[in-house]
Amino acid sequence: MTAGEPVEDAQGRLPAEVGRSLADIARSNGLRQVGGRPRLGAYVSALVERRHFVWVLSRSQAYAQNQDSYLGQAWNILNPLINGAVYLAVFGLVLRTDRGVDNFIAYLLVGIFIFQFMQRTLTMGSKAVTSKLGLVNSLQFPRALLPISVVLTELIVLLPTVAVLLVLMPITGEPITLWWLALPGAVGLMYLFGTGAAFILARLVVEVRDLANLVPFVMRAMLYFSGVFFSISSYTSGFLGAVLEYQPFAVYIQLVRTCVMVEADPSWQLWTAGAVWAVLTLLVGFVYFWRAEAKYGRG
Amino acid sequence: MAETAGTTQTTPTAPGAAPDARDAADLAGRPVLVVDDVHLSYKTFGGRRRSGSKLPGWARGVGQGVGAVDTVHAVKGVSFVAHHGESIGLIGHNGSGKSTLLRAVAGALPVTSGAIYTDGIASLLGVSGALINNLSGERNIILGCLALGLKPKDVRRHYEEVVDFADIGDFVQLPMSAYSSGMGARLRFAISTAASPDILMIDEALATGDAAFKARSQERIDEIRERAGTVLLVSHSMNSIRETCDRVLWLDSGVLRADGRPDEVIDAYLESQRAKVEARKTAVEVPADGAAPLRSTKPPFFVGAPHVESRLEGRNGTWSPIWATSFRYQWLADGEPIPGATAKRITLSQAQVGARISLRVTASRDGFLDGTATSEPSAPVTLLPPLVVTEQPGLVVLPRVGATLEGHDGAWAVGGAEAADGADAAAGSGEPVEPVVHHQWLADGEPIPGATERSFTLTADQVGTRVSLRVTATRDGCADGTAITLETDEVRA
Repeated sequence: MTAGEPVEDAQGRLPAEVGRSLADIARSNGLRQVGGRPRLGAYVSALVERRHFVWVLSRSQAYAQNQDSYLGQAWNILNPLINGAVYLAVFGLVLRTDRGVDNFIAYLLVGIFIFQFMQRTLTMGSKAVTSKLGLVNSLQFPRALLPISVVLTELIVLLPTVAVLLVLMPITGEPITLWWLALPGAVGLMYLFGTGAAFILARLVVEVRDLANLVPFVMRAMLYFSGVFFSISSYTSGFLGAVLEYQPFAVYIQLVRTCVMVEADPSWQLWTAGAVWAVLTLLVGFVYFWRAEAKYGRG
Repeated sequence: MAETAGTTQTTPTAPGAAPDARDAADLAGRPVLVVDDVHLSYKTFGGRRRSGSKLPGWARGVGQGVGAVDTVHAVKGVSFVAHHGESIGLIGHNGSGKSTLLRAVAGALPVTSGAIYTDGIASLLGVSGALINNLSGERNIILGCLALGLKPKDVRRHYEEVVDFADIGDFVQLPMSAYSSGMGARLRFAISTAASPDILMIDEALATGDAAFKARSQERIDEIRERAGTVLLVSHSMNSIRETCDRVLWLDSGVLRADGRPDEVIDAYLESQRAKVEARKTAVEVPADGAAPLRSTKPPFFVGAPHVESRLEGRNGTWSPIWATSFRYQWLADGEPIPGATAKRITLSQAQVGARISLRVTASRDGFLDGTATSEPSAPVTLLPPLVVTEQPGLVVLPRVGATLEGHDGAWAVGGAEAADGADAAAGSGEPVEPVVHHQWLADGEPIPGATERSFTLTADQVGTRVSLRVTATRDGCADGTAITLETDEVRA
């Protein structure tokens, strides 16, 4: 063989394989094609197989988030406390948006804690794939693991926040009721919705990276549209009021309120809306994300 | 392969022996990797190539800031089959598509067209980070093993082994961002091979380790091959390719140029590299008669400050169409050659004071006509900064007629702080000198005629005046310096 000569036809075939096409050699020896999009069922079972990976990754990421400071994990508690204090000062003492709310402190705390979870989930979820290109580029694994682990990370971070919330609730004058037992349900629905939304956003951002720059603006708008620091029904009514009340952010914030506050009436409409949003978003998001499985990692 | 099968089955040290314990003898010779007419292109963000753009300059500038996305077609139709137990080297110059191809085989980069088929786990080991920097080595090991598809109980079993192999000690508890590049590479290698992949791809990673680590890596590669795994190695070190591989693929600009025995392919590759370098050397515009002149593309210049006793050092500048092999120098004062000044360096003397200095360089090379270029002239050469007194001359203070006053020469140095800005700092740095000194005795500040010796006997003429001594120091290359002593009391009779 000399330089410049085209490669001879064998391409590394053994004598027994000469004359057969490469695809035929691969198939007859049971080789699997790399990349491409697996069937939905196979994809799901591959995800289940790597559940330990998701769990360890999420826990590690949640732990690493606060590890680069002196107070370290104490920030998991300090963060929601300080955040709550700031909002209380602004909306409880200065702007006074407590119209129609009896226990405004409890109302506001639930609002901002839950909103912050949603905001972080969607912001981090939108970058789930693009921020982990190092991992994507070196290992082969179902890419859906990334949005799943991002949202799980946020859920882990939410747990101490919820603990803080439950400690603060009786202090603000809320009685402990059986409805507290429904809290995991509300958080669970919210978590499923977040995962679905992260699937959708993660793929959108892979297709058009610039969309990641728009997410913060949407979040800012949602902060004001979701009844975080005011009661939607006390300020709006009619069609607009219904739209605002049944968009997912408001639904999940209100659902958590019904669990821990006596003045928030649990209604079957609200729980249904929470469940529908969760299941719908998760299914649509998962399929949407899976359909582009072959694209992640290109460039 | 058949002889090695027995040893393979009884190798308990092999990390994560193949899960289904497939017999190596069965597998030997069966295909493990098929690459079928694969094309790979990917998008890059943050910059785009300008070549071939017909847009005006300003528009191209905008194109770098907005919409800076480009597509790179890195691999163009590569096909080959690899079998169990083979060790394949990938060679080619930088940017020939080797790493991109490996990433595609690892499933990290989707193929643009064509198909890749593998059997079992393919693990890519690259120099760049595969793992998560802000997490500890411990977490990275666990995550890496899980991502490679190991079960949690297997991870626990391999954990110690990975730490041992990577030899990072208690750094394992620190975040990976604190690791040296060698530590990071060792840990990645240890993790990648822990899962005992069927196809192990190594992208230059062995280059980062020390000798001991290289030896251990080589052992581990051999283990994998004995278990009928396949190793794909990208390296620019032809020695490591020769040592490790029994087959070599040569990629050239994304096209497979050669596929065969290592010595043949490597020789052909090195030959083409040599030819390329030679071609670049001779690819210069030589006219038909072979007598092209060397042209100066960046004129010669020199460094050093233009003052007496300063040393100037010439620089050749650059030459076209090709670098010259020898240079001749001539220093010029106001354009006239300075006799004897034909070295690369010159030390300026009093003779050049006031002249502008320049350097004429004559470049030559076989096969070319000599080229000549002259540097920009300097500012006019100046004297050294004036002499300054560092120790005041003094007088014996008993001023009576008939008394003899003993003068003092003082001590002198070149230049002072006020002269240091313009001149070479070394020349004006207060280096002590011994100049020639002249004395002049003064009465009430007026020179006393004839009183120019070092000592002076007071006469009646000076009664009622105050006497002082002016010392003038002169030295070649420097402006004169003067110092006057304090005056005496009035001279008494």
